[in-house]
Amino acid sequence: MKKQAKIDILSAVLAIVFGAAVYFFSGSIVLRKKGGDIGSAFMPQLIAGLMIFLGLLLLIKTVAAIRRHPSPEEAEKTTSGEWVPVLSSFINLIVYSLLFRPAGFLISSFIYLVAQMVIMSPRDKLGAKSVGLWTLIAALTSAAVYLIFTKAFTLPLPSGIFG
Amino acid sequence: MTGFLAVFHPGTLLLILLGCIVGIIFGAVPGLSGTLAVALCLPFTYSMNSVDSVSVLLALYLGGVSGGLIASVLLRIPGTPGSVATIWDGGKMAENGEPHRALGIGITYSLIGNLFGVFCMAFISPQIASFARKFGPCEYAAVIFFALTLISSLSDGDMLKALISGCAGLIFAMVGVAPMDNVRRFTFGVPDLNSGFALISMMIGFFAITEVVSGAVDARKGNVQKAALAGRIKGLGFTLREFAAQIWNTILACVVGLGIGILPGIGASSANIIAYVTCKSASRHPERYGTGSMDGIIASEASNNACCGGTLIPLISLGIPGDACTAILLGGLMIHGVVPGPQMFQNNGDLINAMIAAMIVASILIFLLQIGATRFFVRMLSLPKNILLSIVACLCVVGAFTNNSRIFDVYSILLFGFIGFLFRKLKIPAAPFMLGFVLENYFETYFRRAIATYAGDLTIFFTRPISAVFIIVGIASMIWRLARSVRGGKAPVSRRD
Repeated sequence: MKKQAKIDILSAVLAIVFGAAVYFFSGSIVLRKKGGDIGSAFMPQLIAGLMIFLGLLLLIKTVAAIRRHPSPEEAEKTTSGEWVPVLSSFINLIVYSLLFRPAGFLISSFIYLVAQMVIMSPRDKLGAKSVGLWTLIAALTSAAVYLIFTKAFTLPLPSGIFG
Repeated sequence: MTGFLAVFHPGTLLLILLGCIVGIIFGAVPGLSGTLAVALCLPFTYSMNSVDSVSVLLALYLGGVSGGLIASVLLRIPGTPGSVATIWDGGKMAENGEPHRALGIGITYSLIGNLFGVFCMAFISPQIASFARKFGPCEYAAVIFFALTLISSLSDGDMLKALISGCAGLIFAMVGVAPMDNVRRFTFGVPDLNSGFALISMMIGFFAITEVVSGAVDARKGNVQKAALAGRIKGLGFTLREFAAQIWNTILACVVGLGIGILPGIGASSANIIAYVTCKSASRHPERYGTGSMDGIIASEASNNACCGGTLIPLISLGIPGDACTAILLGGLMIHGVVPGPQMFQNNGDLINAMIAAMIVASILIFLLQIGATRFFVRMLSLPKNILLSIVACLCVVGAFTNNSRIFDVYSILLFGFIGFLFRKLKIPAAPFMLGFVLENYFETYFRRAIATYAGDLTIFFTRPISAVFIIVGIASMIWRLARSVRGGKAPVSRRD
């Protein structure tokens, strides 16, 4: 099966499942209809139904295309190494958001920046010197952003353990 | 004339300059916006006279809208929701090694859009306002419905996926308290979900976080953006012949931007996408869109700036703010005892003239500031990608947090970042999601208001001429495109992430 067909089938299945879940949960929306109002459940149910319909159309269209033009099994060309920076970046962001309030902006941002710069750096450029430079940049950036936002723009940022 | 000349006082000009600089910075940083700049600076204007106050607020507003293009072009991350469509051609042009040209075109057409909006506000405001008064909930719902059907034109070849993306956007916008009856939907007992997902969080997650996470792969490979290596170009990045060839495209983008601006509440966040789609549909060369063409940058930038003038028309003519930013401006005017509405032209004619002059001056200053700083902006791209994108991601988190000072918005960007990344991997276009998300609340509000007003009679949408035209044209164009897509025919294709 072609890679594009696999992607389309997955997209269609996700749309159907998501639409069905939305339709199911919209059943618990409280109805307070007054006069000619349609109520708050109408629109979610309509759009969820539409999404299921579109998912089915996409599925039928893809399956029909596969039957019309059957193609030999394609070798997977995914390079597993590509997922490492992606997953690491997501995990780093999750940790950042979890630390953002308890540890405060300065510490959480400093940790995030250093970690993210390491995650994104080419392997051949990883060394004590470059990590030292990134640490300095992270410290200066965190401090500068904190001062600009809290002092110049008077926007509050979590001070964490410094607060 | 007194009001017009009052703006040219050195102190007022200095305030406008400061407003432009701060506005551009807020527009350029993803997560911050002109609206936030206006809200933050409003207290500083209490002690000013009405001309200074309104001048600095308008400069912040225009600067915020114009500044959004910088991040859209250079980082492929929208600086503001109003510059999302700029990514598709501006970002692509920069990626192709022409960041100066992309910025030059965007900045110039931002000026043109701004001046078009100011011109309409100055000369045909009362006429437009009286036409807008014919719009009831039926007409508003029909216009927004028509805009939603444009989702079908936002596909990269597969219209079904575009529609699925649009439906997902509509559904995510339904989270929280429903319009009309204030019933909670999909909140699952989580108090933070009562107010729904913030537009800024959605935009940052969908575009910025996705870009940073996807960019991690390139950065690790040590790929340097071509843009950083490109030289400087002459002039504004386009020739007089190219300018002449774009006149129709520019007028169309400006008119769409102005029209969307006049509709209360919607604003630049959807104007740029709707104008982009409209210009693409009307173009003889739709295939150019999304490939780094001048046409796409003009459609987005001329429209979002023309929208500013549009949002001010209902404000000064009817006392109805066109978007969140003009709602704050309304507050700023009322603090100085000015009550916008039909009487404003008689009672505060001088102040309206001052507003027009301030907008013209601010537009020109924004143009000069941005053109002057283009070289500096582009030099940012020479920073190693791992440093640049990490700092951008940090600013995005700050922008999401400061929007409402709640940590939930930071978690939201992670959710939308994941969805955006999933969409990219599944080749589902992101733009329809954005359009659906922005328009859902307005559509549902006006639709339900119309239905409630006419006791549940749906035929009202077809018996009122304006709404009938918009609904029939919208449905017909969508069915036609859907049939083509299902049969395997291709919609005008553009490459867009």
